[in-house]
Amino acid sequence: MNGSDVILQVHNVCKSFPEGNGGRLVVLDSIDFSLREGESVAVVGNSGCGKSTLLEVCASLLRPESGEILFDGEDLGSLEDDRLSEIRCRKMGFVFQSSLLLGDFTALENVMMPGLLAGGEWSDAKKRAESLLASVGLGDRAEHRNDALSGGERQRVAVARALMNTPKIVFADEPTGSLDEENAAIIENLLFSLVKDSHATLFLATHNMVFARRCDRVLRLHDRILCDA
Amino acid sequence: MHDSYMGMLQERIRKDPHLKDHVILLVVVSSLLSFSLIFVHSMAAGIADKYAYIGSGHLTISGAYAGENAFPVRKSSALLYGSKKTVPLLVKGVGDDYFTAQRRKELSLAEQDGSILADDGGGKPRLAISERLASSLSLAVGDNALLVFPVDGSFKPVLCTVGVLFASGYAELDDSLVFCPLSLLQRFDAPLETEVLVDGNVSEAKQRLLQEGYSVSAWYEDNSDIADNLRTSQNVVTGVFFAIAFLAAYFISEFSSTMVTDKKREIATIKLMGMKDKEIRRVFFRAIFRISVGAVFIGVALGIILSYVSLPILGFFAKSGFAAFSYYLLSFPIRIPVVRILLVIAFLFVLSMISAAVSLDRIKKIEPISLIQA
Repeated sequence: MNGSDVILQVHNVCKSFPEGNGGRLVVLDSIDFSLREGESVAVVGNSGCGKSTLLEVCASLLRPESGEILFDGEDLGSLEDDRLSEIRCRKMGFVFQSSLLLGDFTALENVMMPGLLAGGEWSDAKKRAESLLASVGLGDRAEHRNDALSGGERQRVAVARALMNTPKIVFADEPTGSLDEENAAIIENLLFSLVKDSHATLFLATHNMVFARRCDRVLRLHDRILCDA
Repeated sequence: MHDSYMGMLQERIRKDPHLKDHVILLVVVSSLLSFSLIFVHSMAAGIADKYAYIGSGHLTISGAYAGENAFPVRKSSALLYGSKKTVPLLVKGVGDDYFTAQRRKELSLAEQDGSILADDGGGKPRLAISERLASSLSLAVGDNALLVFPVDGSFKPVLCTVGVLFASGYAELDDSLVFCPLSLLQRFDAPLETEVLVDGNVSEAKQRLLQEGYSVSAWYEDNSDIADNLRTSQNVVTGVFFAIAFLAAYFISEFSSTMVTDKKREIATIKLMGMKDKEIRRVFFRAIFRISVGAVFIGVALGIILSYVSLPILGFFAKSGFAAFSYYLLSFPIRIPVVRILLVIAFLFVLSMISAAVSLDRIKKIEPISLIQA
């Protein structure tokens, strides 16, 4: 692997959560792996094995107890919250099982949000958001608010929003988990094609092996240890 | 972050239904605060005017003084006999020029030709007594009234005629003051004083006269109990309003906390997208700030309007003989205590904004991860 290609490097990361009995539940133990620019990697495992936790730790949403996470040359563990916010805004995209759209905003405004948070001009952000909504097949639904969209449409808006700032990495945690088969297939296809078009890395957490096998690599998280599937 | 997006977020916050509670609270509190301050201040100033114009002048000089707006008077205590009862009171002997337009207004006297207290030709001195006093003594214009003066250890009765009735609107004065011709009290050697009306600062005018060698006292010294009461009332009311403002600020703080809790999901989402805590706090604070400025402005305007509207209503109650109002002055010009209103409202406003800012600090505790794990 060429070192300059690595966008995310995880070294010896451990994460545990407090338990009711005063002890701690270890979810991740000495995790080591790296992701290269532009590749797609899925992490699979049984429900509750810690896939989401691993993704959240890598995305700086959770801080690990120990270990090091280097993202685009920066040690996420040593950064202040404001810098982490900036990195999430400019370099990361997120798609979760729930679309997490802002209810008071239209689809277009939801997609524009990361662009404007990054300091983009209104007209540029609008143009880019309209283009992304068109590419996910929602060009004619841009002015609809969250409650006027179906579950599948909301998730398509979430995919468009994740790609708004042309991120270096897209974290997707069970993005089709709450969708029917038809909509799940649409989201899968969109996610792969759009991420590839934007040359971003895709880090996917799923228990769906069919979905996972579409990625360049598949990692399995089992009993707190990560290994190639 | 782009300003128009900031504006868009603020607009969404302003549509929060909880903001209505915030606006209503601020409008009600600020309107009641300003109304009460205006009312108490105007009433106090009105009572002060009554004492200054009718009671003792702004300044009282012992002896004669030939200046502008100076009126020679003589005063004596006396008993006024009616057919059913006797009333102790202060009789003030005044000259023909005493009843100026302003004094006629304060006494609700109609503009009349000649002197109010001019001799009616029957040789009996004419008196000006209040409608309240006339009513309690069963006297009417043209009736005889007996005044008894204490003179050199004995009593001198004088039969007078009720010449005119006045109504100052303030029961304290109406019940204890009678006007008679200056010459009547000159007869009993009541000391001569000169009442001076002052345009401007009374204390400064007093100092000037003192420097010129006159023996001078101000109305608030001659009526120190009343002046102290008025001052204390205004200060107590202002103090109470500061306390109310404090309570209002507490509720605004609670409201801000509720709004943050209600919008936890949205806050977590925009934090996930990379918006910083300080930016989110700024958006919420600006939304609350702008709406608070508007609410306070409307509240003060409503308070001023309420002050003007309340006087005719209270006057109506007073004329209806509603006992609870009989010892209040209910006819006075509205004067807006700009400095006191600004102080109280500024206090309310600053305290509200500080408490809102402190409450919005809770935004820091909302983690984007809570959104995903929920």
